[in-house]
Amino acid sequence: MSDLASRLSDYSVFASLSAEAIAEVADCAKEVRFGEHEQIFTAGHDADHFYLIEQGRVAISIEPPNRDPVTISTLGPGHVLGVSWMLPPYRLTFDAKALTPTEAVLIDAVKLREKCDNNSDLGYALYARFAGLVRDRLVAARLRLLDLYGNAAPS
Amino acid sequence: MNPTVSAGATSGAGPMVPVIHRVVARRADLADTTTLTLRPVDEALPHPEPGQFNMLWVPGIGEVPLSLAGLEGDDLVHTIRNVGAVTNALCALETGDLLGVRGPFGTGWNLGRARGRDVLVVAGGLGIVPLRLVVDALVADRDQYGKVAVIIGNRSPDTLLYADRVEGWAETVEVEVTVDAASPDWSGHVGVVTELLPSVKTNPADQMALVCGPEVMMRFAAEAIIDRGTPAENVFVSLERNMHCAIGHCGRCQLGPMFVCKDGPVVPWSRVDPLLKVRGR
Repeated sequence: MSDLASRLSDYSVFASLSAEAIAEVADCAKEVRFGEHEQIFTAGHDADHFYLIEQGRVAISIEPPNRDPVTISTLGPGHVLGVSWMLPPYRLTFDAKALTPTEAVLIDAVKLREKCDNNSDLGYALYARFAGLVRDRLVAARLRLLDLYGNAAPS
Repeated sequence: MNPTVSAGATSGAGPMVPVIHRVVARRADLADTTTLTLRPVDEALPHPEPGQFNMLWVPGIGEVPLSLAGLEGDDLVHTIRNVGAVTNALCALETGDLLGVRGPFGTGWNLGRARGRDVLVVAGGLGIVPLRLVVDALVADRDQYGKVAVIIGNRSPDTLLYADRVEGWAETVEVEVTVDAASPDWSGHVGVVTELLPSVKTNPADQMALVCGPEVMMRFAAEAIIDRGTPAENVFVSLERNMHCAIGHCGRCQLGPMFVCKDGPVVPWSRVDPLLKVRGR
């Protein structure tokens, strides 16, 4: 297993994925770096890539019309940045910016989707894992909708 | 000033008799949250263990349970969020005013059982109050424990309680603060506390986890901690119920077979998990 493939296997989203499947993902991967405050991607653009964050912190944000930008969440080492690559229309939904110098693994999503189209075992394994990731983020978003730390908090 | 309170009651008079304290310091933490330092006028109450609570009484208004935030000699430190008639009256007290205190009541965090092991502290919102003394103790006796991580969830950066103290903790132990919403100038975390669990350095298999916050947050945090390998009996939460007598007689705080005032508020998750799954409790 290559060094890059070995590092990919440490990500929880790829947990228990076979070595062959990891190698297929690694075949789509390359290392990238972003400087502090550097824009990583912008909402509305094609979701041709996603990232695995190795170092640093990234802010996911949205800029509502006539309002200041709002940071929706932050991601750090071990996190996956980007899930819009999974489903049509493969379009990015939010902005992503490096809050600190960031090292990541970029995954070519177009190439990976082609591999999934041609290898249903790989496609099922990856989509099942990313569905779990999307579920976790949906739960987190719903918890925040509850505004748990408002006045009903305990003392 | 509330002149209707008179000194004289002592702890020797029994657990239902308030001991008179004087407000010797007052700090407005947030627009709706105030920290009071209370000094006994006469005999001091027994020193509470971190996690225990007192009943604070404002004559003519009522009494509320409040976890201890700090202990300075015999002085009690309580942080109060103004959410009702009694807490409104407490937040309005000024230095020199008198009030009654009963306590300490209930179970504490019992840090002794964490010595030599890793400790994970997870606080949400005002849940940081009952954990303040715990983290102070972990920092003060740092070499008595393994790795220590503190995760704090909050509504926004500007409503973080004890911000200076939290900054001080970070010099000695791992501290991560995450908020529900922030402007782009916030360089910290945005998200829920469970999202930070994978990145903390404590060993899930050999850690004691102490969790306090809104009940929904505690449930998700406890389950996520257990999912990562911490035995359920090593996860402790602090429950919030409508404590009234505080000595297990009135039943107002009953949760299944438990009286939270007496058997809690600090309980192992393994004991309380099945009880919280019953609707209407």
